[in-house]
Amino acid sequence: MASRNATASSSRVASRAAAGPSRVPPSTKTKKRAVEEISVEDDEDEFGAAGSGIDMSDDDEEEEQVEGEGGEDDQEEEEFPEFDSELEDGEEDLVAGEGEDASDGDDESDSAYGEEEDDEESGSESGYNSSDIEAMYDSSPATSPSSSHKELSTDEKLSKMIAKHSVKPDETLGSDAKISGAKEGVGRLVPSKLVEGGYKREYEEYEAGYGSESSTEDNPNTVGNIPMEWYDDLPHIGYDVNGRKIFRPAQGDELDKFLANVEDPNAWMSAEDKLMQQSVQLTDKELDIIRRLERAENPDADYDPYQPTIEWFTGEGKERVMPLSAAPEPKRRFVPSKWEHKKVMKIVKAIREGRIIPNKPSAAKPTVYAIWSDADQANAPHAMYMPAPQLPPPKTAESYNPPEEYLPTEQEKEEWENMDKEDRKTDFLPQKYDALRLVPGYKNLVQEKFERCLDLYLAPRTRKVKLNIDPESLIPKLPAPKELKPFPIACSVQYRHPGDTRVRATSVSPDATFVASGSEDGVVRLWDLGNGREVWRWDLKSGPIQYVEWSPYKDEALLVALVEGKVVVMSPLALVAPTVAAATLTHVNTAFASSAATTKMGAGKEVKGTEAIKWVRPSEKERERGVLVYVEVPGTPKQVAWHRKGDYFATVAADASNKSVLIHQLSKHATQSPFRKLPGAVQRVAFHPTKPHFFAATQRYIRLYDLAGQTLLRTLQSGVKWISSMDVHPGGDNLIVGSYDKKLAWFDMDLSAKPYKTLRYHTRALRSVVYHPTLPLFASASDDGTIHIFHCTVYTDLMQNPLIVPLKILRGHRITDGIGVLDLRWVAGKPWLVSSGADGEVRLWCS
Amino acid sequence: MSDVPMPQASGSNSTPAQLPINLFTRSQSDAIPSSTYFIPSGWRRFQLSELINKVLQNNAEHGKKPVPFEFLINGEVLRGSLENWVKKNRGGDEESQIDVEYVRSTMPPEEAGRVEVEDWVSGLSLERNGYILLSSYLSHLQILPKSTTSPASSSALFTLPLPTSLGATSCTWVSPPSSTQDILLAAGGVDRLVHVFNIPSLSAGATEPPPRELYTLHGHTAPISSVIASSTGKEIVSGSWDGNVNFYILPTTEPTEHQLPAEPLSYLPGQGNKKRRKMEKEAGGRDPVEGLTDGDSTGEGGWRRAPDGVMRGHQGRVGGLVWDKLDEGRVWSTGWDGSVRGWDVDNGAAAVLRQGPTDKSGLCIDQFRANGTLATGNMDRTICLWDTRQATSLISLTLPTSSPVPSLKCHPTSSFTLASATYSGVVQIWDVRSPKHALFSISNANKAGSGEKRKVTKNGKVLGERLLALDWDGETLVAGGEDGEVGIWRATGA
Repeated sequence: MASRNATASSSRVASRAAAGPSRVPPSTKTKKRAVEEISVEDDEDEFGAAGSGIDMSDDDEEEEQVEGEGGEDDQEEEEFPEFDSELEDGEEDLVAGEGEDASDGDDESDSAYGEEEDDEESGSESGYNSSDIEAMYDSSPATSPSSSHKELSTDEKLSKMIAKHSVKPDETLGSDAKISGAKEGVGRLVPSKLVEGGYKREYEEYEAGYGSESSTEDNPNTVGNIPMEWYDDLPHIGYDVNGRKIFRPAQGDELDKFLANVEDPNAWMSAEDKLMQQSVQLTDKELDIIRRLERAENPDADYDPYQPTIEWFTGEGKERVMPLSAAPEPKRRFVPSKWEHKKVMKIVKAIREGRIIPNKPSAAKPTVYAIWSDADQANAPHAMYMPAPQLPPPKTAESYNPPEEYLPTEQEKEEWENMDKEDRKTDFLPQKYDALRLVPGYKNLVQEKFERCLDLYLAPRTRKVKLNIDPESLIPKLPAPKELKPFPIACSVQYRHPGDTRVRATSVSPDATFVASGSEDGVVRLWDLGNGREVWRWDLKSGPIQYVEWSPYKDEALLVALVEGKVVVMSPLALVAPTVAAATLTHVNTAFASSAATTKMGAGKEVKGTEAIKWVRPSEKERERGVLVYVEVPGTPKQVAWHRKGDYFATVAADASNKSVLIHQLSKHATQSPFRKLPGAVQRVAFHPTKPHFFAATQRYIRLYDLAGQTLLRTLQSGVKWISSMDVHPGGDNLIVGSYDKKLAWFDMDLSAKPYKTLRYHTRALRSVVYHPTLPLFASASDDGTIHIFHCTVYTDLMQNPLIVPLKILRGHRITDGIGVLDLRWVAGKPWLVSSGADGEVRLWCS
Repeated sequence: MSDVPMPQASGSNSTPAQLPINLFTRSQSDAIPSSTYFIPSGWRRFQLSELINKVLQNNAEHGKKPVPFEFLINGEVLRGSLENWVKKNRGGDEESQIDVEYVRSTMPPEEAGRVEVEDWVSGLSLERNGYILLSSYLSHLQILPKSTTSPASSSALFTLPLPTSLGATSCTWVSPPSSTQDILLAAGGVDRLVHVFNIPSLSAGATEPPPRELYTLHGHTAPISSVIASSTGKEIVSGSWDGNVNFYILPTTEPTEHQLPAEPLSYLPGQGNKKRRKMEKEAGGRDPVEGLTDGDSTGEGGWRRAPDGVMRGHQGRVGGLVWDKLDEGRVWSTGWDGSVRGWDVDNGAAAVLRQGPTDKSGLCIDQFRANGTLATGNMDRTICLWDTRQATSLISLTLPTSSPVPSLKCHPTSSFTLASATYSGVVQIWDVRSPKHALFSISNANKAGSGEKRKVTKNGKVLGERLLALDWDGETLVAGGEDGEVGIWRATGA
């Protein structure tokens, strides 16, 4: 009957708190009081008294109980009184009616009992008055047909019980069906003010039955561990558990205190309780603790440091005879080990073969020692072992009888003596004695030994890990310039311009025959590359020549020169082969619709922004000289970049706003302005050597456009302040940029939008940078009058960075008005360089 | 020869160190028996020279004049005493033998005069004794009289203008020196033509039929760089910037018609439209290219000739040409591609090819008559000797100079000396046995302060110190160039 046990135990829990005497039916208040009195009287042996003193009339019930709950322990005494006499009948009934459906009925009755008991007991425990209970019963119609139970007959009781358990409990009465018995015991049902006709349970203030040393003292202050002076100017000193203020106890003045101390014999053993701001008299126990603390003993009086050992498992008669586990004994306990056998046999074999000699006498230690020798002592090979630094061996000058030349002269002696002790090179003066026995005692011995000890003591004994790097190895391994020949070394030919004029631009014809130069006197000159003879000249008479550039197309001889407001297309017709001349003329002239149409607008198309651009036919006299077309453009064009096929060329003009970059087509005499809006002041432009791409360098950025797709492909950030020149590697993936702030930036366009290398070696602004069209060379020219030649190998392997080796500095151009070399060009197919300078010279530098 | 007297060695009282010396020479006439001589270390060139003259018995008794000798040790001319040389080069080791080569001393060149030309001198020739032929960028040929005794007069015997204003780049005598009548000479021009002139007689005063241009040799598509003629005067070979070497055979009698139609070649100003019409008539329906101011030069030029052979091979310009001095049928050329090529003129085949480094662009070439060694002057500031007889050898010797060598000339008889002109304005005489330094260097640079303003010619050309042309006939050396002057020196050279 598990459920019954459960109820019984639960009721027991409740009853334990209520103490034994509540056996008495709580029908009358007085009776209960009496019982309580009894219980108070029999404080000492509660249970026993309860067991003995209350009623022996319930013996039979006890027996029953014993029968029913065979496994009960000795608390039965406490247990059995729970059963009221009232219930006897029920129990009896139950016993009588055992023939009926036992389980159900029992359970129900049990639970009913439980309820009743609980109610009663809780009532007795917490001081319910009977009226409360009555009220409760009244409210439950099923359970309170009448207020008094005693008068009921057995049948009535039974029927009442059946009725009670066959009726659904009234849910309006709180939620007592759900409330456990334990809780029910502590609560008190009161009519709810909120719910009409409802009840609520009210609880008594709970009193914790803690020990005396805990915080259950009166008026415990809850302010916590704070400096109490925070409350100094307040009337209270803190708050109790309920949040009420604890007021400051009355404090007498110092005199009162003194008097109190004098009068009170226990004053010496009272202490000031800061928290409560009053003096508390210490108990004997506390004093004992204090004394023990003073003696540095364990404050617990009960603590016995010498208590006898309790032998739980050992000792006489306590041996464990039973094994801890039931596992059978392992095999290894009784089977000889094969592994050990093998090992032993190995040793046996070794002994047989003589590899191991048993009982071999150990190596005889030498009987005679070199007692001062360290050789037989093992070095301490500790990682951090560090011998003390040794004193240097004595020198000749320290000898007692040094050679004459070591002896100081009078002057040296004087100097030595006048010097500060720290400044002296040696801390002694060499002295000469004829014999060792004449040497006096050394008076500084103790001092020196002390200093030595001090040195050793103060010396930082750490192993310095010194990075021993050869600085040479940090320099990148570059091939020697000798291995990278040929490259230009010396000036071979000078192309001298008459008068003092700056040669702003130069260009070498693609067949390496002629050098064209444009100078500030407005003349474009053509020179024999080999001997420096001026073979042709065009006097354009329109101000300084800004730029000249040969068409890279070898089957034509076309030269573009830039002057203010004009792009001049020229050809040295008299000097080239007739076929070349004819091809050139055909190419340039086909777009003139007829000989009468000498002026032509940009290809007849509506190209926005190109209205001011005219393709003008020069006069016949000029045409005889080889001036083929004038293209009138806004602003002053500064640079020409030819497309590799020789039909398109791009010009960059200063002060031409959005028409500064123009792309001209010779065969159609068409001009387009590729940019509607420019990203800035464009400095240089270039065509990609293989793809339909177009580079435009502004002051700081280089933009790469796709001409076919009309899109911006990339923006390269140069990191320089003002780009002066730009050249694209013939492979198309690399780019060099020279700047007015003395830097040269190399871009590897596969690598990043930032320069792969930024070189700064010129002392003045760079004017021109050029790649050699075929050889792995590039050169840069600067206002410092020098030209630097570099080797540059660009590997086809994308993983390998370009190799840049400085080769040669070419000097020769004079700096004129702060301007040095202005333009550079390589000679196609040869390691030769042509440079033009502000000193009015064009030079050819040969290998 | 132990019985050789040692004039001062035995007589000297203090004990100067004696150096063991092997004296040898490569010329047969001056050879002395080979032996090791112990020579006082203080001896210089003069004493050594005396010694050799003594051994050779070159003295008045035997009716011979003493010959001055130069002494070369390890390709260097001995300038000081032997002792100094030993100290400098051997660290004072006086015991090992020194091989000393001796050569007949060349006298230092002696300036004989200067002839002023108005523009850059581009070509010089001394092939005909007594005359200096020069071509200049002023587009004319000049024949100057040359006399070894007195400074040459600057007045030209003949001045032959080329029908172009672009300039002449080279010139040569075509007729052999033996012929005295109807002398032919040729000049190559920047106008891509070789102009052959005929001078009826060189004798002064006999100018009844004035000299005229007889032939105009077409075929090149770029300016002519070099023109040479065979020793018979019947063939002309020209090299050009277009890389071709053209071979022309001159007709023995004057032809009556042009081999070629006039090409629209002249775009020069001042050559008017009347020629254009004429050309159109002649060419017959050829479409004139618009813009080409075509015109032929028949008015001034000679009979147009086409090349009889075109020898192609050079990549880039042909720098210089030389007719083989031993083999009539071969022409040597050097080009800017760094190669030296030998051509068989009969069939136009490339017989020999020696390819040097491509940046060793050859500017000029000449050949030693004695052994057939070729010498080229190069853009990379070297003079290279090419041994063409061995198939394997490339450059046998390199003489370093200070700047490119646009012109050089080998001594007509000696097989060791050559003269070179450089862009830095220095004429140098080299002995190939002494390859480190030139024997003599004569600077042609303006002695008057170089800081002076550049002189400018009438047509606006700046004059500089650069030399462009040089010739040497073993007695006289002429060189000219950018300074518009022809310097004349007496230089025997071996």
